[in-house]
Amino acid sequence: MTSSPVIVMQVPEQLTVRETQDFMRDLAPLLESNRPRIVLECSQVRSMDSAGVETLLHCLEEALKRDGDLKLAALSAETEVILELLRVARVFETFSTSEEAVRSFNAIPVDALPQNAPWYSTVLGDLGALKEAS
Amino acid sequence: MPEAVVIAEPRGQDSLGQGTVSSAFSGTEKWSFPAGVELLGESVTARLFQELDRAGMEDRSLLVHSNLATHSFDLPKNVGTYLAPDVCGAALQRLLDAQAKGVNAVILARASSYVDLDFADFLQFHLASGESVTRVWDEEQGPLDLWVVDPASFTEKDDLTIRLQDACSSYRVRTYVNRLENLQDARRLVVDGLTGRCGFRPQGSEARPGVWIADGAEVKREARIVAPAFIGRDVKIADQCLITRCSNIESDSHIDYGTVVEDSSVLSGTYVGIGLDLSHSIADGVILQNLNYDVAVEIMDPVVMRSLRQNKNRGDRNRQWLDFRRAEVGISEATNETT
Repeated sequence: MTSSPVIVMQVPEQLTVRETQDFMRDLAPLLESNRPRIVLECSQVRSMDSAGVETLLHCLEEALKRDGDLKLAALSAETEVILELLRVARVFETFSTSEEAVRSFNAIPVDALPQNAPWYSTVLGDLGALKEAS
Repeated sequence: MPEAVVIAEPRGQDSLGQGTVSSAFSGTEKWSFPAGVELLGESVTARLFQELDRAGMEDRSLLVHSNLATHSFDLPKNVGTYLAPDVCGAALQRLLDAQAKGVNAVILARASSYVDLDFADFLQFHLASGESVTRVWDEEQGPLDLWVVDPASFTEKDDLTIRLQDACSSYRVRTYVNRLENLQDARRLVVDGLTGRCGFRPQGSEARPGVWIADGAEVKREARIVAPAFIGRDVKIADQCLITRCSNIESDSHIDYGTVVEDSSVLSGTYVGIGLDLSHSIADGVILQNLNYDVAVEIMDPVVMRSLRQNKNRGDRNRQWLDFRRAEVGISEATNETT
């Protein structure tokens, strides 16, 4: 099974009701692909209103509907504060850097390993599965 | 009869308000939390005036720097309030006026730190010392911005800053001091007041141990207030709210349905919307200062947070204490009435 590449996209400095339309216009084609894998890099964000948060939630929902995922990376302090205030911080998977977020898409889940795998497979992963995934 | 003069100066005006302000009055550079802000029902400044009154100072006045013209100070009645672009010059003039009236001692204070102090004893110490200037000196915190002076020793040519810095006598104490140099200090003062570690006590009745509720507050039946906490005058707390971990909700604020306020201060006249999670923060109108992330955020959505205060002098522009990014310029009449 092949996976679509992980797309990293920068969230603009302001993600308020005015900017969300442009942002969605840029993001929409990525969400329409099969199994979209998207990382939104948030280091530049300085202000976000509830429309901006709603947009992020909508994007996550659309990605999940297509069996994909959307993750947040490098959250600015302002973003952290807003997401926590609106109680949606735990809804998203977040990472310190985009690289970590991208790597997380390629990580093999534990339950994907064969049942009789040797002891080292939980640490290193199944070598056959790793080769197949790369 | 001794008098008291309290100076209120503006804070720094950098983008987060955490910069330094050069205090012409005390000669030090430090940022300080606005002492006119209501905390646990009353501001540091108002409490200072009450202590001065208890110590026998009937003639008390507040000199306010012009840049604080639009702020209101919740002062007791019969405290004279004067605006001055040059607070040092104005303070010196007050001393000379006191000299002319034959006043033997004037307490000078900068409205910044909170100190648990016996002002009557401080005054007595000064009078017994026979010195012209006595300054409070805390054993751990060092010199504080509190002096007693003999007005007869001043002339109009004196530089007040230098005279105060060269205080002849020190009144040594070991007491509770909170310099209010940053927002963390403000939160600490609230926590210490709620837990009884200092004399900065909540105003209002203790509805049950550790929970103070002031007059006019409405707390809905299904809201939960976990001690210690303070609910201010005319505050509304909606159903399913949780107020916990030394939080204080100051007067005329409204916490809407289902919101959690944890280890936070909601300053007076602030609306906090439905279903929110306010933690480790100070909320003031549309400004949210998160103390964990050390960042101030302006909330754009009035349904999330907004100011409920109206400033009569500035029309539709609500005045907030934590409004770091808007410089305050202008002179207007300051009164003792809360605006």
